[in-house]
Amino acid sequence: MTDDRLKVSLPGLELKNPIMPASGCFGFGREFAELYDLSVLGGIMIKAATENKKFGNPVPRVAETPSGMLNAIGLQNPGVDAIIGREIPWLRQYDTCIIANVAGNSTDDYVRTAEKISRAEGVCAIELNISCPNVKEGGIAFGTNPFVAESLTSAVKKVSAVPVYVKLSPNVTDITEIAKAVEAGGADGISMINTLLGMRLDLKTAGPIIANKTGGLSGAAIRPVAVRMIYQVYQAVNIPIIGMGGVGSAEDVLELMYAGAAAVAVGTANFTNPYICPEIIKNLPAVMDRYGIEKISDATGKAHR
Amino acid sequence: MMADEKVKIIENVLIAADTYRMVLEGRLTAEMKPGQFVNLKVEGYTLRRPISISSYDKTSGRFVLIYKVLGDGTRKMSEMKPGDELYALGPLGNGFPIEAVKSAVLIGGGAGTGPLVQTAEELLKTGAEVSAVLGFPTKADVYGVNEFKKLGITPFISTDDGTEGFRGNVMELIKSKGLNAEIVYACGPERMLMAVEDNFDRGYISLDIRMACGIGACMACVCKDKKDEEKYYRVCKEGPVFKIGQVKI
Repeated sequence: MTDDRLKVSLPGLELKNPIMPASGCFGFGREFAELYDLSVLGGIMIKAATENKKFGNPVPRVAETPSGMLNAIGLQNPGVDAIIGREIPWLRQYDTCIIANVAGNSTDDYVRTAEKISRAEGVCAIELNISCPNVKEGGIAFGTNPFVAESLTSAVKKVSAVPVYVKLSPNVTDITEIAKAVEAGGADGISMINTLLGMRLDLKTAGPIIANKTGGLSGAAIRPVAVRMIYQVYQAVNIPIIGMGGVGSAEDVLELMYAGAAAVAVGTANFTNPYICPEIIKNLPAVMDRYGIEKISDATGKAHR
Repeated sequence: MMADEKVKIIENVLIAADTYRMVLEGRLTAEMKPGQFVNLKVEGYTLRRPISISSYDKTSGRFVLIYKVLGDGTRKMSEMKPGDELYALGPLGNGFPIEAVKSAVLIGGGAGTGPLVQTAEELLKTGAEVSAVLGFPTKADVYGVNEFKKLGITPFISTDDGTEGFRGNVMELIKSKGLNAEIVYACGPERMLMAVEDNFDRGYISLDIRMACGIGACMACVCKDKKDEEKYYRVCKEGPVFKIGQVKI
């Protein structure tokens, strides 16, 4: 499966291809490993780690939407120690980069969690989650204020043993402000976009379908928003972007890369088709040929040239 | 091994109000156990539809899904024709364990009756005496009688309004018939499963819940342990079948 045309290089991440499953859509890889060899993946963005284990929100946690879905899982995870003890060592058997997503309620617990997980063997980079819309404390509260985002990034950068990518929320007036702030805070890269805050009502009960009331919108519906925001942020900062938001094909990958992404994560599409990541990786060379892209890294920012 | 396989529709017919029986054919049938489910990809929709496997025939490779039209996705499923194909990821979940018992009562509510058909067949194979009690809102919703009769079981029927069979719910019917068994197997709406939990000590219930991935990765369909607040289960992976007394419904 190695093809030099597909290699991309980002801080801490020498990827055999630019494709990785997005955090929250792939657990820690165990279930998908029953379906295919995870070593085909450029990287894996594992489920968010918090300092202590979290059960998450009440159910129902998901609902279908036009060309997408809403979710309000609420960062359910076994806690950073269990992830370092059980999940990461298991995942290391595969030849792929592990990107550890970190979430928290306060600067202190973000910092402690990031420090710990960044020192776990096999972790290539941290994805700092300042954009989860589904938890009451933390998450998005850190991702909507540029000053808070900058100071958290800088605090995490001080302790992290690996490069830090900050995951941005689209639920802001001007995403470039936040992007510039995290760059100033020392971020090595940006990952974007997290989900858009949405809501659905049940016509029978007149109440929300999702128990948390609101949820994060993902899937094909948000791809144009991702493309627009990546395009804007690419112009605003000088650090690489891992793009995500409604990607479901090799063509979509190219579109996000043209907008400015150096690598691309696939989220919701894993639920529609669990083989989507290997299929995209297989299809990429033919799609690159069709559009005259010799090396996939040449596609990054093509819309700006 | 679960697989995502393109399976062919052999039959897709209305059998009760908004309730359809879809017969599919594929290699994944070889792996099926009673009470498992498949996650169906319906073209044009982001999320798959998790549907319980009602019965299967490993010789022909055919399996049966009984589903209710509840929204756009299941409506689109109901419009599909024999010969059409769709992707089925499965078989998923744990299924009903077939225990060695002398007698079993199967309790189905509405669309939850589906997975009990194969369960009945497997229990009969062990020599157990099997009875079935099926509850529905009204006569137009009743289905499954023929499926059980084919197995030599005449199911007891209840309807909420008394338009067919016993008037009342399945628990009232069970009590009125004085049915007793070593073990119960139940699938149906939450309130029915809660009543089953209140009335029986030994047996299994199958939960129905909104899912996304269907394979245990996304944490959309979790439930908590009944006694241990810290313990949880993924309905798609550790379920959908749980022991009576195991989970908080």
